[in-house]
Amino acid sequence: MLIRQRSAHHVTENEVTPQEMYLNRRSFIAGAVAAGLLPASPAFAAKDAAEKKRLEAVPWPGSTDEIQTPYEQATSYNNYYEFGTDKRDPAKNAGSLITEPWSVNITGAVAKPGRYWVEDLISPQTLEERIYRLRCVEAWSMVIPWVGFPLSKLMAMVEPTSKAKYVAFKTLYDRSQMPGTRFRVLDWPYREGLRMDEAANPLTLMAVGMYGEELPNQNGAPLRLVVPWKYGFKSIKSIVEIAFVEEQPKTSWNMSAPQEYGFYSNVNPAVSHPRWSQASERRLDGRGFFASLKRIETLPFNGYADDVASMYSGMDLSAFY
Amino acid sequence: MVRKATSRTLWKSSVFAVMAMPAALLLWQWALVAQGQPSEMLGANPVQATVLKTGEFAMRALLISLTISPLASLFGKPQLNAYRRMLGLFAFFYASLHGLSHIGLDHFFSAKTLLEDLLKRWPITLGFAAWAALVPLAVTSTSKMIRRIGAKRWKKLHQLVYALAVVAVVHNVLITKGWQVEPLVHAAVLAALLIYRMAGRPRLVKLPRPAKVQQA
Repeated sequence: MLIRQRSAHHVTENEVTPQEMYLNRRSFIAGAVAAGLLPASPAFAAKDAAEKKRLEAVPWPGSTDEIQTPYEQATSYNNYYEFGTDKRDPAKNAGSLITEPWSVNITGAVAKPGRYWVEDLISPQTLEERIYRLRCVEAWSMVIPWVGFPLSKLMAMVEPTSKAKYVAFKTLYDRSQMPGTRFRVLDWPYREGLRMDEAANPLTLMAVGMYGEELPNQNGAPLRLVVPWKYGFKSIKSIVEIAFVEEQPKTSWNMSAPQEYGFYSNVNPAVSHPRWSQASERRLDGRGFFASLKRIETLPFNGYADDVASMYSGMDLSAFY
Repeated sequence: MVRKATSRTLWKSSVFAVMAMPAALLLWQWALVAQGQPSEMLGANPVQATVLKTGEFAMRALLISLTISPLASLFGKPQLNAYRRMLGLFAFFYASLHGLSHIGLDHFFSAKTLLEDLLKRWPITLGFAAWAALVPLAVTSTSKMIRRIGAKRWKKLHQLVYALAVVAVVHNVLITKGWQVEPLVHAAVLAALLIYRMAGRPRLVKLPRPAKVQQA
């Protein structure tokens, strides 16, 4: 039996802003700013970003029933270095990201290349709600209800050719919208990649929302990848380019420190990171003080081994970390 | 003379209060977290935030303590040197909190983790080495110890601080993901301090005649 748990942030129909008012919010706000009623401040931009459209989604049967990370934590504790390196920076700064209009350039070994409006990639899909564990390489983890569709559905739309062996993704790189890119913390733009079979795996998700709403900017709006059996940095945010390629693509953290971050980066408690033990993790699920002190064991492939381990049979996972 | 002494005490207490503030703030924020209230400073992962913050405080306290004698020479104000001991002890205090929060709070004093940290994760090994080198300096920081060891040998021992500061900065740069700004600023500050020393401590202001120097 499916028990629907309403989280604290759940809003009922009568609390929701009428859609026409929501759609006109920018002009409404612009008018208020022009009239001097509201300050034209970044804090206000963040507030604007906070009112997100609710999404219709079909519950996915494979969802975990573990305690979910509170919305507040999942949206205020983020690694999105384009908006700053402190965990709180993305929530503070990502208000400047313009997600409408948004297009994704699909290139390479693909039958239907081109620049697609993000709406045109999303609207043909049936959105699913999938509750996945997210395991960061920094040894903390969350449980997040994503809304999205399998990457394989997008691939079916654009038809990669037999030459395609890998998929390479890029995040937007725009200094005017992303204050953190003033510093060369990483070699911008942020890049990630998957092998074709990994990309086609039914677990690999293109997320457009979380907690029943559109993605907040700090979580990678309007379109991000979610690969639940890999460390979080593989799940690239705010995607502007998807290239189907023959060679294994360069990926940002691997370029930054190849001995620390491999191309595969599957969650693996047996392979230590040079700066963190990966054997255990801290689950961030808002259960309070004493629970926050406790560490839990990290599972191979973040507990998704049954669905993904066969893709790596015969590979030495300590060499291909 | 009495007024001078009071003013120095006042200054020292003020510096002490400022340096103790981060610890007080941390304690206050943990009290909030323990009551289940949100803490802006500690966020969703208070343990990780505590390890990072105490490391930051230690690094800054160490750099501040190393800035004192160059400032004293630069501006001809030897009385500033009276603050070095307190600042150095604060660096040791925050470095100890940093190490304790990593191994105690984050890993529940797991001997296995400590051993792995020391043997396998050398950016952590460097951090531990920097802290360990602070221990003899902290122990010998009292006036009694200076007298017992002899000023010359004491000075030599305490020059260890420059070497351990280099190790601490390398730890800071290596332990941070990517090329973040803050550790590089720490490295730049330390480099400037070392260059100043190697350049023979040039002065902006001539020292007053010895007769006029205030005695501690």
